[in-house]
Amino acid sequence: MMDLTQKMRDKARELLEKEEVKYVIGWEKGTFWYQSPPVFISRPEDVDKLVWDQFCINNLSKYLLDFKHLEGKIALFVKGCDSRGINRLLQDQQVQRDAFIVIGVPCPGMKDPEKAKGLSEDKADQLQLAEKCATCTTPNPVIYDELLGDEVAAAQVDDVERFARVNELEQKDPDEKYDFWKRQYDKCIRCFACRNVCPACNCRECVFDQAEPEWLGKRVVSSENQFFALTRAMHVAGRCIECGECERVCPMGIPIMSLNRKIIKDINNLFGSYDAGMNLEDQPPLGKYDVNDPEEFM
Amino acid sequence: MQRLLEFVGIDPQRFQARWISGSEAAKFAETITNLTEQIKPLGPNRKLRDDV
Repeated sequence: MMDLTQKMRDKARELLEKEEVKYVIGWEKGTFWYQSPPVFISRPEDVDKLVWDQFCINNLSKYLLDFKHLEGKIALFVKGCDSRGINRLLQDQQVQRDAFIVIGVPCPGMKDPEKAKGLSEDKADQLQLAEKCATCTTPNPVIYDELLGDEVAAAQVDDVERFARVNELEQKDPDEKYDFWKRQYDKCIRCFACRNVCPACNCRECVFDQAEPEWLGKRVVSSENQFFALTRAMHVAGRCIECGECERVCPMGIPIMSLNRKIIKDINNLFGSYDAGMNLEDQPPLGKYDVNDPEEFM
Repeated sequence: MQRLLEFVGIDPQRFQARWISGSEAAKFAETITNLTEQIKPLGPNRKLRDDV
């Protein structure tokens, strides 16, 4: 990983010195040993801040939206899951492909900063992979201008493993399910962090912000929170790239990915296997029409 | 959507989606009648509501 860090720094320095890009977005070492938050670098002398370690878990693709109107280019580093976010934004026509440079980094899987919190640094080796990384099928970037380092082997993850949490919940009886989700979303404080971090949540104006028409009440109460959860899940249906950022940023620890994975599982069953953001050609199943689509509602 | 509601513990019978055009009055009436018949025995919905 030290090797890749050096390669990242060299690449960033080259791009900034040649003035090919205005900013380079990567990760830097945070206050704690178990955090590597995003960093925005505009001067060549700052490139040594860049790091590549086992805590570069943040998905940087969404930051492209913040630089939409910048004159000049952006360069950003992406892992496998992040690169699907780039495809998401391109497919949703939110960003221009020639406005940024994607530097791919093959990812060996990241560690969960939350789990590392209580440990001392010398026990870092004992940490397990973050949950989303343990069932990752795309460790290598699927879209990039340049790839640093060698591709890593993708693990074979079957659907049983991938949908383990969904299957477990599906076994419960209706009242148990309802109790489970009610308890989860009673915790929700409607901070919208899940939406803000999501590469699929890229609407310029979000339904949850609108006051008129009031699609959903702003009160933080059980019913509105649950409608918020269901509405958001359906809005990213078929477009969720499974980066798991929503769940990671949730300050209340709500298992948001269980809802998203449930929908992915259903879509795979109804429309055939589909993984969002793997390429630019395949349209999301809910965003296109096919005469062979199931017509349960006719 | 029906599957998602089922996943969060709502009786899927309470929610139906049908494609009915403006000229299909009979189908509309029939659908609503059937739905009403189906949901009446289920009683009032107590889920996704705030107790006040």
